[in-house]
Amino acid sequence: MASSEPDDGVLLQRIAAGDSNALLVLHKRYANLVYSMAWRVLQDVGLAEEVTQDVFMKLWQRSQRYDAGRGRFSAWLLSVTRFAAIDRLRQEGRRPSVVEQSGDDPDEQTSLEQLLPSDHASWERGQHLRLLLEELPSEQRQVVELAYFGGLTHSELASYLGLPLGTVKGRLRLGLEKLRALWLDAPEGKR
Amino acid sequence: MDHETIAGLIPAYALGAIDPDESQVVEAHLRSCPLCRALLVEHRNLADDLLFAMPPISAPVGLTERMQRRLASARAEVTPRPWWTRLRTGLLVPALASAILLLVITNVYWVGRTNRLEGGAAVQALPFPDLAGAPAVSLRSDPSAPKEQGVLYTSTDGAVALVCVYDMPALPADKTYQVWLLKDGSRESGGVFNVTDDGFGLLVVRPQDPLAKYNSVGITVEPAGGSPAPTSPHVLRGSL
Repeated sequence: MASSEPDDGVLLQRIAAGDSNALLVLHKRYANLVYSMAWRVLQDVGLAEEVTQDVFMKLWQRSQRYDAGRGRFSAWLLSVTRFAAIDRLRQEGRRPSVVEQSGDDPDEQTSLEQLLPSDHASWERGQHLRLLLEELPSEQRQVVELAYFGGLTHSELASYLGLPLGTVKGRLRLGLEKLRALWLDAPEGKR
Repeated sequence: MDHETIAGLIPAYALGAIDPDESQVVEAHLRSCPLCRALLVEHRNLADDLLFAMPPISAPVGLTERMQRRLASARAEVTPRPWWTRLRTGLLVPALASAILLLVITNVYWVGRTNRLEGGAAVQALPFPDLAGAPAVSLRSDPSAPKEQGVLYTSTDGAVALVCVYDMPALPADKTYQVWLLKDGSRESGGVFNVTDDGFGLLVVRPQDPLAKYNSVGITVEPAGGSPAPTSPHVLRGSL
């Protein structure tokens, strides 16, 4: 983000005052990030675009209100997007899925500036977590990703995977505890 | 449920992945257990960082421009709408058709008269379409968009079409709307037009071939005077 551009807080104030250009600046700033989350959940280009646009329209219509006291705007925006995309997944009657992770792709890393011009630290932590997910046993990684990006609860996971409820609970607990342990062991700059 | 069992649910609770009955038990326990509350904070921090753990993907080209049009459309909806847009669709088509027919007839009459007064130049008769009961194609910003913003009427012989749009944003002086007819991958310009302050626009289109031979119609924003080919994404489209 160029230093001359207003920060998120200023833009949000302008949006609240009815400045549509401020929303478009915010859209340009975060569209890639929001779209990435929407696509991760929905795995569909058209639906991901619709959810992306819906999220920003809700911001415009003030039906979604950001409270600066509850954390970074980028995290709030992604949280809203995740829930909106999961809702859309359910409305469409589609099944959530696990995405096969790719290794460190130089093209992905060079697109960092485009993806998140103002919150590199959060993005780097998140991407490191994505690599740590790959270190989990596949059955634990599967339930973690389905729970988080698919919005499935214990009983829904058991039904979806055709597994006993106890098995699903155990895998999710172990997967998240292992992920947390790997995360705490990570170098300081990565978390 | 004992402390150990509930503590085992905290990671999934932080993710929002436990069932409602378990959630009530966990919440009741958290009120009196500082250890579990501290564990919850750690797992919520992890969940917050997971928000940024998806593969990076660039949004489709033109997404911000499409957002701009959607914003303009949303703003137009809150301003008083012309009477013809408040009619139910079932009434709109014949009512609008009659109004347009009258407009076209009137204009044809006066154009013809003017030409005759200016020295008898041959008037190229405008075979205005028979709008009553004419096939009508809905024009929308996206096939799934709930709001229709235009209609294309076809004459019975398919030789002439009438494009009507409403609630469209007025363009700056250096821009114009352009109609395109698409057929088997090729595009043919149907002409250019602008809209009134109320967002209403009208264009008579005479395609090279009968309209039945075309697959779809689209409208884009182009430099004033039009372009040989579209230079921007469709703002409205319809399937023929």
